[in-house]
Amino acid sequence: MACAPYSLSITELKTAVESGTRKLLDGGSLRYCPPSAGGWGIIRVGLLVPESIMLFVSPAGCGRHGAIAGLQLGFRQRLFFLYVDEVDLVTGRHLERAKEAVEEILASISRPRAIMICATCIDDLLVSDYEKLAEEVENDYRIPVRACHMNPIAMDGKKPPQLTIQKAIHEFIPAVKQKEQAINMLGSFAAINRGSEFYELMAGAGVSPVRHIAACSTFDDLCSMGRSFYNVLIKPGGKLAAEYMAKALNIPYCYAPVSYGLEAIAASYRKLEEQLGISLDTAAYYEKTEKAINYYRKILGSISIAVGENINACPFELARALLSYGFEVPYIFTDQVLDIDRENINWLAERRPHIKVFTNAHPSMANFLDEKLKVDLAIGFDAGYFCSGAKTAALSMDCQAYGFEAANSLLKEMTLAMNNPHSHREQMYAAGLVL
Amino acid sequence: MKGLYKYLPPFAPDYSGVCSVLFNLNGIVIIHDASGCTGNFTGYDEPRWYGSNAAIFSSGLREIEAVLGDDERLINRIMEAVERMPRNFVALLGSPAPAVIGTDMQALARILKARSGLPVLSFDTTGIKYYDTGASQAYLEIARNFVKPWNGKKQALVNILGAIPLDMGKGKRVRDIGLLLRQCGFSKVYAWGQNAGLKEISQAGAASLNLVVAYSGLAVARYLHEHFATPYMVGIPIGQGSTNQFMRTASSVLGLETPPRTTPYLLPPNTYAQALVIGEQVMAGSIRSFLRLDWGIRKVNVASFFAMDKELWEEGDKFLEEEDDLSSLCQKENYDLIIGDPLYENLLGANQGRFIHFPHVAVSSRLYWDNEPACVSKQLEGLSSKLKTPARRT
Amino acid sequence: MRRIAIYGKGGIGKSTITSTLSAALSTMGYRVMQVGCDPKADSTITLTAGKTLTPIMDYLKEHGKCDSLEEITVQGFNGIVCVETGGPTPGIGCAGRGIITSFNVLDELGAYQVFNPDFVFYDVLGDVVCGGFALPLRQGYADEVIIVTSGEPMALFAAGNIKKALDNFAERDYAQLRGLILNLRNIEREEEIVYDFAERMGVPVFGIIPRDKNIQLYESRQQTVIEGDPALNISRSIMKLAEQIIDLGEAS
Repeated sequence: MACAPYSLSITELKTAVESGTRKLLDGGSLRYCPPSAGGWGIIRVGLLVPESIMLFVSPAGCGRHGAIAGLQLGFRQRLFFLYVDEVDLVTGRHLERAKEAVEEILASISRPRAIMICATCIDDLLVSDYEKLAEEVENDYRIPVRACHMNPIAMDGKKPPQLTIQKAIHEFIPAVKQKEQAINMLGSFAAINRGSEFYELMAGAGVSPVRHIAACSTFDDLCSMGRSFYNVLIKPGGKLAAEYMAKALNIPYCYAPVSYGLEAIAASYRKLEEQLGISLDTAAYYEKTEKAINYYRKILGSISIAVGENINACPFELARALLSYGFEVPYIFTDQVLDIDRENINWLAERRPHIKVFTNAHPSMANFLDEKLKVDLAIGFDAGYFCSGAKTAALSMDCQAYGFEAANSLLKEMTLAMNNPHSHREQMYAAGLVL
Repeated sequence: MKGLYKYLPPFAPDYSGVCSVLFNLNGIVIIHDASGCTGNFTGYDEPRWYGSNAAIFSSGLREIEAVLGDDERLINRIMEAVERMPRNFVALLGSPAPAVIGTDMQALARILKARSGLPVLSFDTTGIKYYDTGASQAYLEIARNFVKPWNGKKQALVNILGAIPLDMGKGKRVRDIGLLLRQCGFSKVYAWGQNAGLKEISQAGAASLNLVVAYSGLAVARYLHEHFATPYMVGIPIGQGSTNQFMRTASSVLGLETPPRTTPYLLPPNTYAQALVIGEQVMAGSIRSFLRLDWGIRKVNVASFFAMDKELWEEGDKFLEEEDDLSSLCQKENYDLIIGDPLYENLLGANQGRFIHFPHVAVSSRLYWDNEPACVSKQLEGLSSKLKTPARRT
Repeated sequence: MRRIAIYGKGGIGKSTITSTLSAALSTMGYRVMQVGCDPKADSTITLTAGKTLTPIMDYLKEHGKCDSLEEITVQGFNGIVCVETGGPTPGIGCAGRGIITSFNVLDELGAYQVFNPDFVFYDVLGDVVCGGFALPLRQGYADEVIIVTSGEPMALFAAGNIKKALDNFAERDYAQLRGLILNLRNIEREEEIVYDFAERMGVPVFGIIPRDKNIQLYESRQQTVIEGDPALNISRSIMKLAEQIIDLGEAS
């Protein structure tokens, strides 16, 4: 029965990456879906558009996880489903029915400011034109309407759904010629924590306000993002959105990622200085954070930590940060390696060549719990699930740390998890993860 | 409008029903999808998924394979898993994408069977239908493939059919029914979809009785009746009256007698004039029996969004095709007692009487699956405690 | 019951030949059912004896589901059961999927048990273009395939593709290729070309249908030549072809 779970040492991974095999799954395997798999999901991200509703057009089954998560997290009332049946598949008449559905929905609720119509894998295969549908509905009701796609079938292509949805929510923003000395943050689902030094530094350099879709309470607020002169992409998921806004709204962008290692954080700030043509005095924050690291390192001791993928970080960067803080990282769980991970993989391979990298989705992970891997702390629900004795810090997407505050809040969350552990299962199910 | 759902979440789909039935049988189960469908089952339809080692996988279908009809890659992936992890059988399930491109699941099953030497089951699930049709089909396939011929004497064995968590919850209710059946003289109680493995299922022909606890178990009960002449009874013993009847009938199959244990506790007459139970047909029908026998409510209707069998149908029952059907039923009938999943509450209208929550995993998923009301035999905690204090009298 | 799928390049004369064969077999006393698998829904037009036949997909579009065979079948010339799958409006939906859905409806309503035909012909659009159009080949539907071709290069190319598809499906227990029917277009050395092609493919040519203007004449009256005038040469050659198809079954 038992078979060893598929894994690579970080050294083997380094070699694989160098030879161009970037996928961790060995040669097209079946995919295991551990309970910890999933994230915000397309529906929840789509509904970040303030004062909007979403019509989800699909076979009944497709919307189930999103709807239940919506009930858990409170966005179900803005979500409507139109079920596609067999006759629709053949005739394509569900596109017409979607128009009728919008009419009936609008008759039963107070007028929304925006409508998102979401299609799924089947309409990809049928090549149904949802962009045209959105245009027609917009013309009929004089409400901005955009199409989005929950189509995991396109996951390996150039337009995977987790990227296109971020683009779609920013497509409501109109182009504005007159720009302000304000910036938008892209890529994360939450606005940067108010406690981050980032706001202070930006205000000090004359850049204000700092906008993010999740911080917009009205649709007009969202539209005001078109007035910002620059976009800061802090997570790779916002790449298509940033490219779109550069082209359509004339807002250039740079990638200055969320990081947890002090040098990487400093590097993001340096990049912002260069790109925005401003000067940021970050030295004091650097020193303060260095002290905080030493403080927490003493409190926590030399704990061992497993790093997962289902976190608000790039797993390899986080592992590198934790090692540089003075902790041990014996295991990493992740399904994919991005180009931006290379440098961190090389760094890790040089210093800790035996770190084991597991792939959450590999079929052999079905037997993983027999492994009984032991660590003190797991970061991410996936790492917490596979290292079942460990305490878990979720480091979730629900709040967004940035700058030196990211290191501080990470250490705080780790300490909290070590001192007041919660049931992994309850915590994880409460998060409403959608695959 | 047809197909527009404003309040309810989409219900558990057909592939979840199949997976749930196969969950404990130690097979390799593959949903041919991009991963979202599998995520529905593993995250939202299967309370046993957490901490289990069930080998249920997504095929990881991608657009290019779908467009090119590249089934060979799927077969290779499955063969790789088969070689890596020896299990009892393989099951291959469809999802919306293969339904659109018309993947021939039966043909793939034949190829896989020839290459792996394992039994291979295939299911044309589409995600368009609900879990009950999938589960029903899965029970039938298991019976066709794994039940051995039996010509010997019947044993004190009973199969419980339809006992998947999507209908029956995480297992407590099924265990409680098992205890009652043991009291009736059955030494072997095998709940398909819960505790029964393939070895137990293979002996099904020896059963003296089959107990159907959900619609999904009906077709297989009829199949087993046809092939092994095993009688079946339908229903869940809820409350005292039903439990007495249940035990009498079950014991009589083995030629035994069980004295009634307790007398039903009756509500004062006319506490409720008419009641509606919304849910899976067998469970709802069993609650109806409880309301009649223990509480003396004469008019009790059953309504369901899921498949309903004619044999269990009573006048006034209603198959609900749309959300609107439930709203208009409630407007028309003016029930003073309604029992059903909490999520139905938004559809009942303002003029209704008491509404009692009775969660159904196939509807509300993980929202309530950790606190299911016990209902078997005299243990009526959830249901009866709420019933004892009627909101109003008519 | 013999279940035969007729494939071939679009416009090659599949529907005409299939309908005429159906008519011929019916006059020999066999019960025949013909299923047109083409969104154009005109396979059985010369068999329906003027009755209106609603394609299955049209019915489903209108009513959502179908509970009765009467709604979607017509018994035409000599009691031939005519069915058309129909399909979506061009440009949207999925025609292949329409065939799948239609076949499911026929299965659910027990069409083959109810009509209990001796012969079922599936007249399938063009080449095997996608999963749906291969459906008639699957286990449970046609057991035999006949390809209609002429000596023209594109027709032979299509025939070759169908053969390839069948070879690809070998492991799946799909229908067996019986052979070719040559529908003459009167191009130069046509018979030689087709026989040569058939030999390379390893299948027989078991019928040659000469060009005959009577086909068009009776088609314009919505009849087959068999119905129009069984004594014609063309009618006699098709009767002969029908006999050969009967013999094929008896030989196996």
